[in-house]
Order: sequence, then structure tokens, then C-alpha cells
Amino acid sequence: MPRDTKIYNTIKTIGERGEKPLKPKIPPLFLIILITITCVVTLTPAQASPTPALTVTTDKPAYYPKENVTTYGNLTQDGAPVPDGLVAIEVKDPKDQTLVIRTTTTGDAPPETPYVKVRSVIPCDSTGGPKDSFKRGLQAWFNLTITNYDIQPRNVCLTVNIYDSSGTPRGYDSILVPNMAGPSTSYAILCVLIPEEAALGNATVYGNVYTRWPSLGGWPYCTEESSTFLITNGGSSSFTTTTALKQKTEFSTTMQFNGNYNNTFKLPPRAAAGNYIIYVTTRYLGEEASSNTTFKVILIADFDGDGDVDGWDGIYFVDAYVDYWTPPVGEVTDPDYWRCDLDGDGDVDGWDGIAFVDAFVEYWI
Amino acid sequence: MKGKTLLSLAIVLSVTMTLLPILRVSAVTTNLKITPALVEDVPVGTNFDVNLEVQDVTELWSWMCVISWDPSVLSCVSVSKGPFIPDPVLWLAAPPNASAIPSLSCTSMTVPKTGYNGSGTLATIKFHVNAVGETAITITGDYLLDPAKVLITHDTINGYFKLPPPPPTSPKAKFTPAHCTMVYVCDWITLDGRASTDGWDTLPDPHSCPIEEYEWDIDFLNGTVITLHGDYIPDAFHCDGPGDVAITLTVYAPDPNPPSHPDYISVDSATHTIHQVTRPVGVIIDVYTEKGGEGPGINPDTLLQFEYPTNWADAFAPQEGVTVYAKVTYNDDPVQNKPVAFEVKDETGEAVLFRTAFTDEFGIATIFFRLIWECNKTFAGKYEVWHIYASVSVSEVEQYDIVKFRYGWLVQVDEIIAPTTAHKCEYIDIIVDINNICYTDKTVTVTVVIYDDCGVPIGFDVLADWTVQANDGLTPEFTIHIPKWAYLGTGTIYVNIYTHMPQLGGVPMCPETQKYIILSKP
Repeated sequence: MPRDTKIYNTIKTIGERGEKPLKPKIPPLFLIILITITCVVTLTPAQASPTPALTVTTDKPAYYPKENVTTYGNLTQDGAPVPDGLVAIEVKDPKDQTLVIRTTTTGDAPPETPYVKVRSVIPCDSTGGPKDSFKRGLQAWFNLTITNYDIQPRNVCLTVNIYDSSGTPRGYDSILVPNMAGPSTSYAILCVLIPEEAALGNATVYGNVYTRWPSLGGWPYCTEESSTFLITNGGSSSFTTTTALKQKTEFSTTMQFNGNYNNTFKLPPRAAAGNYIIYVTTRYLGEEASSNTTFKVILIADFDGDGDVDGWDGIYFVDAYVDYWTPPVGEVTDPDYWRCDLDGDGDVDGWDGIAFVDAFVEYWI
Repeated sequence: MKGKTLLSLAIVLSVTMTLLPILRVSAVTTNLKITPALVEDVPVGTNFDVNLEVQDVTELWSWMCVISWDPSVLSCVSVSKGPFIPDPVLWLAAPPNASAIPSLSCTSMTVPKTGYNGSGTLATIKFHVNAVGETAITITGDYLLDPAKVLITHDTINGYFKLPPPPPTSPKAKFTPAHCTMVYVCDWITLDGRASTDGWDTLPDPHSCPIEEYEWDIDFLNGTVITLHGDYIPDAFHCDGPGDVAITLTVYAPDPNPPSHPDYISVDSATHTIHQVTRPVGVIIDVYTEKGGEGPGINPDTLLQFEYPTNWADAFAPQEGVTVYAKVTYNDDPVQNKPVAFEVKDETGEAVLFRTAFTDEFGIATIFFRLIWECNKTFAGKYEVWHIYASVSVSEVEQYDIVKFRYGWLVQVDEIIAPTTAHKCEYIDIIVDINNICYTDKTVTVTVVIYDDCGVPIGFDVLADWTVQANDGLTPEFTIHIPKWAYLGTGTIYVNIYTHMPQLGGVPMCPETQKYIILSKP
């Protein structure tokens, strides 16, 4: 810097004397160094792999309970689709409780051996013995066997997530182990309470292993494993005579072959109203990427949007009903009143009243 | 022409009638198979067993077969007779070559000839895993015979071994002398890094990355550092005086086939500190246990007891038996028939036993005791430190030695971390801090169960056969759902650690630990 200043001062002094400014004599060595540094900075390729980009979105911004939520997105690296990536999907409800914890691929499974792999997820009794049916309202257990192929210890977050026959997620369980010794194979027995409202019939359990919760930045080690089992109503159901163990399914995750992924699940009938957050994470060729998005769950007949279906919503419905039937019949003074057209037939009539009562009863059961 | 046809038919019929009795056909299919049908993920360098089994056989008197495999993946360690055909038998097993057991047979020698029915194990074959890969374990040349030497028809089911290639794995520097080894001044130290493992890269195709360079830095901690190269260096150096020496091995395994996976790191290093002490002359007594502790317990130069784990025995559990050895030598020569005094002191310094034993032809005196476990015994901390003293007199020169060990629950629950309140219909996170007091890894089964206010178990999780690393521990976090039907009030979290699942004969490794939580409305 002092050297440059000196040159500048020299030019200025000569100019003030009215002489033609001389070209500054920049030493060739300085130029060479400057050019070299510029070249090194601008031309040296990055040593790390390009950071992958992961997107996530939903097919709609808001849903009613019992509607299907489709999550989709894509994974790219340097703008090119990644056809063999793993994507963790975690959905958290407004109470910060996990609803969905799954892993999908953007095409093929990664070709290389994962550091940690879920070997199997098997419905079992409380001591680990295979079992293929569980009663509603009681606990179900799942034996998750995993192997750490690495020679180093690995953080593992083991999860199971069960879906009933309607495709509705019905609970999960997890164990986070900071240091799973490697190489080693171990297993865990995880417990999920089957809710009373779960649909009877074939259900599916999905077993996964992550570095930690995807909502905290964890990424999937491997593709998920699944098994089917039966949810029975507790009586001597014919379901119990059917063996459905170890039938692989791809219940609601459709694999893609162009770097895209998607996942569909059905919201529970009593899904909490409010904002849900979807976290997606991945790690591809040593580089991590994540993204998240939100969607809203609106209760049917929750006209005032306070998260319940109560008398205030009833008052709102009556207002709309009266408005609709006040001459001129068929018009409403507030366009929002059309939300009370619950059956979508273009009016606010007794059938909508029945639909409101149904929603009210369902909410308060 | 007609006559020839009839003749041909007659010949065919005759041959068929002749052969028919040779083949016995039963209604139930007999299988000759390898079990388990699929063996997966047995690490390289270790062994596993498969059985040659027969299933649903009738009147089996003799059998023979050839077992083969891919020699690049497996090698046969041994083969032993199974129990299905009981003794006396003629058991013939040709020595295994690289790829097969060329002849394997067993024939009952019971008089009169007896055939055996049902299913069972004919032979057990122990394999060694040479490398990652896949191979069928194939049965060929197989015959099952009944006492009339009639062939028993059967199906053959081969086995399969599969070990997938590892993920990108950096090289690992491993060497001896081990960390905290004690050596005598002027003893030559041999550096052996051959236990180091090569790297493994997965791009562009899975391939090994052999270690190309072993670099040793010997730091005498007095400003002198020497650098050596080579995987095995006998008599690499020795020290002129007592003190510690830090030895660092750095291995370099560059990827011979780039590009490399981003997770692949081609360099690894490890450092071991060894203690050099002055070699005593004349009478030496060294007391140790079956769980280690060889070497003097007292540094002859500083006269201070060595810190854990140098020359300590590994930890012992309550009521565990302890075998104590005292080796007496005179100028490195075993001293036989010498009485050795033993004294064992507990954590408080109180003596718990005195014994005397004579040295054997190897100069070793041995005693045994079982650790005391009083009716109301508990541990104030994680463990106690016990001392074992042994002393001897040779030519009126008295010498003694100490070995110390930790006494406590080998694996124990340090703490349960959980919220004070849990709500029904929600999940509760429970962190269990598990501690291992040994200097070796332990495999345990951890269970967490929650009771509600009325004593109803409302949920549990199990981690089975998990390794708790030495001096490190394990801190699993369990997520358990509190069901709607839980009784509100005071709930209790119980955490237990077993050797295995109790149904498999697992036993507790430590007392149960509990923590109270408040169960409240959602």
C-alpha cells in the first residue's frame, strides 16, 4: 500500500507541474503476482462437491382433516437432477408433535453401502417375538434391527411410523443413540399405541434410521424398511387369521426417476388445526441439504378459525343461513358466508346444517 | 420292424423295472440344505458356522456330498459331525481345500443296520470371511442312502453368504505398543502398525485404498523427536532414562483411483503414550489378575502408584470372582516354591483378606476370592478402588507389588433426564446416561418403562445388544407415548440394564434406576 501511494503521489506532483503525466512504473513482479493470485482465486475449482439443492412443496396450501396431503419436491446438484438420493420427510403438527417420519428416494436407492442400515422392521410382541396383529387401543411393538457398517461410532435416531389401512399416520416411536459402536448389529424394540380411531385391516410400519431428527438437521442413512400387520378391533376378528407379515409395500411414497420425490399421507380425522411444518433433508456425496415448508389444516365448520367447532361457529352458520334466505334469496351480503355451504351445492340450507352438526359431533366425541 | 419295436419296449421296461427299487420316493419332500440359508454381514476376519441339515428324511443310514464356495470370499476353518446320525458312525471328512470340502460323508455303523427319520444336523462347517463379496455355499455330489443302500430322493438347497462392501472408510491407524504400556529403560521398542486398516473408497467404483506410508513420530517429551517409516520396525528405539514417550503413527492411504468420495479421508493418526521405568534387578514380584494388571503397580522411579489404567486390572462386579496371580522372578528367572503373601484392601483401606500361596514351576502363586457383597452394600460413587498387595522375600530381599481395580456395577445408569411433567396423548423424551467403568467395551440391553399413578405400565422401549464403549458410555434418548388411558398423578420411569433380554437368560448389570414424573391432562 505505501508503495502504491508513492506512485500516485509522484504522478500528482508531475501533473501539477504541467508536464505530461508519466505512466506509473509498476514492477513486472508485482503484476505477475497479482495476475497469479487473481487466476488462483477465480479459476481454482472447489474441492468440495457442489452443494445439492432440495425443494419441498405441497399440492395445496391448506387441507381439511381426512384429506390427502401430497408432499413433493426435487433434489438437484449443480442444476442436474439427482436420481439416487435419499430424502427424509418429517411432518410436525401445531403442537410440535411428529406426525410423519419417513424416508423416500429420488429414484433408485444409493448404490453404495450406507454407514448405517435398517435391516428389518418386524411387528412383534413385547419381548421381540414376531406377531402380526394388534388390537386397537393397545400397544404394538416393532423390532428394528440395524447395522453400523462404519468402523467409527455413528449417531443413530431409530424411528418407526405406523400407517393404518386408510393411509393415515397413527403414531411413531423413536430412540436416539449418540454413539452406536461400529461395526456392529443391534436391535431395538419400539412401542406404538394404536389409537382407537385407527382403521381396521392391513396397516404398515415404516422403520428408518437418521443421524438425528430431520427437523433438527438429521439426514437419512438408508432406504426405509416396512412391514405390514393387522389392526383388529379386539374381538375374534377374521383379520387375525391372515398372515400379513413382511409384505413389502410402498404405501404412500412413490419413487421417481428424475430427481423428484413425493409422499402422500392422509390427515387424521381429528388432526389439530393450525400450521404444520414439513422438514426435508438429504445428504448426497458428503454434502447436506435441507428445506421446509408449511401447510395449514382447517377444521370443517371452524368458521371463526379458532381451532374448534363450537357454539360461535354455530352462530356464524345461523347468520349465513339467515342471510342466504333473506330476500333476495340466494344471495349473501358477505362472500365469506359461502364457507357455510359445506356440501358445496351452491346454497346454505338444511343439508349444510346437517353437515355442520356432523362436524360438531365429530369434533366433540 | 414290429418285432424290433416290441424288443425295444421290452428292454426299456426291463431296465425301468430294474432301476425302480433303487430310487425311493416318499410323499414328503426330503431336503438337504445349508442353514441358515443366508448369512449376511459377518465382518472380514471373523468366523461363522453353517449347518448341513436334512429335513423330513426317512430311513437315512448314510450320506455324502461335496461343499464348495468362492475362495476369494470364504475359507473353511473346520468341519464337524452333526448329531442326526448318532454314534457309532464312520465319519469321513477330507481336508478342506481353498474352495471345497471335496468329500464329506457319514455312515451309521449300528448293528443291525439302522435308518434314522426326521430332521436334523448332519454336519457343522465353520467358515472364515476372507473379503467382502458374495458366494453360494453349494452342495454337490450329494447322496442319501437308506440301510438297503437305496437312494433317497431329495431336493438340495444351497446356502448363500453376502457381505456388502463398506461405505467410504478412511484408513485407521492402529499399532502396538498399546497406550499406557509400561516398558523398562533400555528395552528395545518394536513398532508394529500392521493392524492398521486400509481405506475404502466408493467412487467411481468401490475399491480399496491401501496404506502406502507409515510414519512414526517418537516424541521423548524432552524436545527430541525422531521420525521413522515402515509398517513394522523391530527394535525401533529405546530410551536411556525413565519417563514418558509419545508415539504417533500416521498412515497415508491416497486414493489410487480418483475421484474420491467426499467422505473419504486418506490420512489417519493415533498416539500412544508409553511409560518407561528403570528395570529393577534381582527379585521382582508382579501381581495381576485374570482381567489384566501385569507390570509393576508402583513406578520404581517416582515410587508413585501408576494412574488408571496403566497396570490396573479391569473392573470387577459385585460378587464376581477374582483370581490373583503373583509372579516371582530373580533376574528374569522364575522362582519356584516361594511363599507369597497376599492382602486385599477395600476402598477405605480396610483389609478384607490375607492369604499365602507358594509359587509354581513358572514362579506364579495363585489365590482366588469372591468380592464381598454385604446385605446392605451400596456404592457411594460410580465405583470403588480396591488394592491387591503381594509380597515375597528372596534371599532376605523383600519385594512387594500392587494391582488396583475398580469395583462396581460394570455398566450403570448415571442419570435419567426427563421432563418433570408429561401430558397424556403426547410424547415424552427420556435421556438415559449410561456409564461403563471398564476399560473394555461392554454389550448390554437397556430397557425403559413408564408406570402411571396406579402402577400400570403405559409404555416402554428396549435397546438390545448395544455396545457401551469403554470410558465413554452411551446416552440414548427414548421417545415414549403417554396413552390416553394412563392414570393421572405421579408416574415412574424405570431404567434397567441387562446382559441380554431376560427371556434369553440375561441378568441385571446394575440396580434399577427410577425417576418420578407428573402425568397430567393433555
